Amino acid sequence: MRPEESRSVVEEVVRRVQADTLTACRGARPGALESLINDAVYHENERLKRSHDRSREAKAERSFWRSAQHRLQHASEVDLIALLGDITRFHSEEIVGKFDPAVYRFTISTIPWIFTVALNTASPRRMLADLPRLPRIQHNLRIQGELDLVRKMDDLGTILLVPTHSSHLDSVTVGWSAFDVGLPPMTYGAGLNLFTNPVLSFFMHNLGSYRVDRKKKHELYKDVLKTYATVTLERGYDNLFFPGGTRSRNGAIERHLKLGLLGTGLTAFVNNLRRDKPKPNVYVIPCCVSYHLVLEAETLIEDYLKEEGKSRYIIEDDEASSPRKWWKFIRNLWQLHSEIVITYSRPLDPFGNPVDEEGRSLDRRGRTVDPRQFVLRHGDPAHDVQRDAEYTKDLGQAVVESYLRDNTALTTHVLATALLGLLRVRTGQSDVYRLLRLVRPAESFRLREQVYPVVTAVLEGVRRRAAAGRMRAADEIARADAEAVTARALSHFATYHQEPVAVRLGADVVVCNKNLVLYYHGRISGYGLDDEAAAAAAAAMGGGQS
Amino acid sequence: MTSPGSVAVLGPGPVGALLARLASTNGCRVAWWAGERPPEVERPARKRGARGAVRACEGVVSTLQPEEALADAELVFLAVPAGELPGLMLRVGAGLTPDRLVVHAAKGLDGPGGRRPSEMIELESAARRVGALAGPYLVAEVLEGYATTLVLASRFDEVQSAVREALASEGVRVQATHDLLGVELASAAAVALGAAAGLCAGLKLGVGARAALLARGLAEATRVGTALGAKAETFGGPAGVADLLVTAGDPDGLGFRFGRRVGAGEPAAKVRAEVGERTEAVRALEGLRGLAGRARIPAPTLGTLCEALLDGADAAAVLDRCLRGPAQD
Repeated sequence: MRPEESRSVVEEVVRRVQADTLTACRGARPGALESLINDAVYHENERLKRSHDRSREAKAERSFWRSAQHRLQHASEVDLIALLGDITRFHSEEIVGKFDPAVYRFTISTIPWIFTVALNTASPRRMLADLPRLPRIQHNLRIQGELDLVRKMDDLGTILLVPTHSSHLDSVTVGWSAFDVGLPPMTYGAGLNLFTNPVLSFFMHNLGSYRVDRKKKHELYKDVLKTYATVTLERGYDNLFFPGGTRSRNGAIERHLKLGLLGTGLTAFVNNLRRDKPKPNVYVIPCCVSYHLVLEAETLIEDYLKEEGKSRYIIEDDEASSPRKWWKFIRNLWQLHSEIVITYSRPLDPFGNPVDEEGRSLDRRGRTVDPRQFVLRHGDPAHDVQRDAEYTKDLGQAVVESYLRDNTALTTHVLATALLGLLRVRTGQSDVYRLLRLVRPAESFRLREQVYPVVTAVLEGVRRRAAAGRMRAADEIARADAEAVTARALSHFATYHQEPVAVRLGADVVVCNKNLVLYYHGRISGYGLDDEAAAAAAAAMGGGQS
Repeated sequence: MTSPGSVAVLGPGPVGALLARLASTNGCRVAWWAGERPPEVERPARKRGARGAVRACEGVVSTLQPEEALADAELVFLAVPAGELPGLMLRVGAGLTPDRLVVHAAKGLDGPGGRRPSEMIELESAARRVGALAGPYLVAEVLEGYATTLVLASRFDEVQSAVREALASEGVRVQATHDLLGVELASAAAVALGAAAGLCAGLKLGVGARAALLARGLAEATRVGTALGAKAETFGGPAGVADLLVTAGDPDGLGFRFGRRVGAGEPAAKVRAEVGERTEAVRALEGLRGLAGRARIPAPTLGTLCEALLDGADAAAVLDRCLRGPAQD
């Protein structure tokens, strides 16, 4: 977005939020506007009191909110409206990203190289000598799915890309994949904490992202954020955001999506219809990212298992904030010829219907449907908050179903599921928390008699489901046998993490980090594979209990 | 293009006639498709043995084809039993476009799969703004001006207010809820348990035993419903308990009569064959049993009723075991 355009976007966001807020407040009880602003001022001042940030930006924020508090006292209706405008503008300007197409082209071209440099930071001489043979990100990213459809949708309307979220690395990998598929730069909301990591910050600033501060919890901020996404969509900027809201804590595919941002596609669509825009359609494209190893797995699963951790929505001190960890992770990626699989699902309309290659919505019987008809009231396209919230629930459901169908099982997920099945039988517990308490340190299983049969059962389960279109299996899973899959998974598990997930010791496999077993199993949970693994484990351990 | 105030009623029975009449009285433009036979103005309706008459209002336009009735209708009522809904949907599904508000009055489920009427509608058409009309009403009573409560369940406020506009009047209260799943399952339970009440009557089991059996059946249906995401209070409301009081207390009800014949000793298969497609109670019972299995909720009472009414077991023996055995919980 060029600077003059982002100025006009800010103006439009301010105008709309102001108008919508005033309409809503006038329809509500008296004093609604004052209490809305009061809420914002209170939350911001409280947040800033707790913050230790002493940067210039933080100082400016403090002074703004203190003055807002002052102005709020004895404010007349006119003062309140002016204050509402100032707060909205303050937030909008903070959110809007600084994007420059020239810098985008430069940055995107550096992604393959910056990783290459990372690989060789220790030895510049080797880097120069190896230059022609160095691996590129292209070798480690496998981009698959409905790519032709996705490109077509970009011509036919505006795209809302909604990937799964398991790591901060997603912002870079998905950003790159979108470029590789041939999509224009994406506008996307990135958590403010991503801007603190110097590596990520570089990408964030230059790949078209705008800043989302998830610590700001008051309604007015959320309204500004949603309106910003809506306005950019209406102006034809493709958007990207993670509808899970936060990184999956237990490794599983997200089932409960944040519907607020997801609904912006529908709002933009209705606005486009009302203005008779030539290409009014908004296409929602789910996208599932699978990793052999996840950069921040240890912190995420620990957070998941902690009772109080469940409310820790924003983690600032994890692996992703340490550049050293990043290098280690990326180096592993290459040394193991590891793949990150990114699957683009079939595009959906804002109501959750699939669309065909012409961008037309289809009903469940494959008949084309005019999407306008969903939002008509007495013949005209109209907004209806309650109706649109229901439609967005349907869309959320359709997105989750796409995730599940296009989730790719990798070797580490299969082995972790098999190991969890074995642990389940050994401890006699199926409840996760109790199971983890009962697992002894360095629990070991016989490779040939116990691990292979269970891995075989899980592999067969995955293949069966993949054949039925319920999930996807990576090539290595579709072809290899239990022995090869186990060996490959163990080679991943042995590296990168502080403590290996599991290692092979002679004829045994030893579980070193049970939490990570749970984490990596999480990716293919919810398909009923757990029961199959437990049944196979019970059969394998019945005779060969060590 | 749909137009406000335009209503289509698809369905030949007394319920279709009633809805057409109520909507027309409220000032809507109503088109009524009453099935393949040329629509008769007078249709019979039952009321405690006596036969009343349902007369469609003068303002109602009768059509020969369902598509004709649909034309520009914004609100569409599908007034057929659950068993006939799939057939109707195959015929009119393509015409139920997403701009229409579609409300069915089918109480029941589509056999062992437990598919609900609204699911059938969403499967066969692109309509999304769907609702269910339920509650404790007898057509003849509504026509005679008795105070009536109808339940309208839809996820969409738009559907709720459109139905209120079309049907509510001084005598007819339309109670709206968002719990579509709950209302559909609760009214299926009421229909199914109507046959159970008939069974008890046929077996001459006594009022207390009948009440205990019905309460247990409804409790199981409630557990199944809540496991699937419905609200428990829906089952205790007008679409559940109240409708059950109607089906279990109306000896002329189809389900009741079916149950009574089986209870009196006629083989279930024979009675089913004679009553034919119209035994909604049987389909609803099968559906509830299927859903209980899927939700892994134990439902011994519903299971017993299925054995007696469907599987051809000795009704007296299985019910005796169910009622006299030790409490399970």
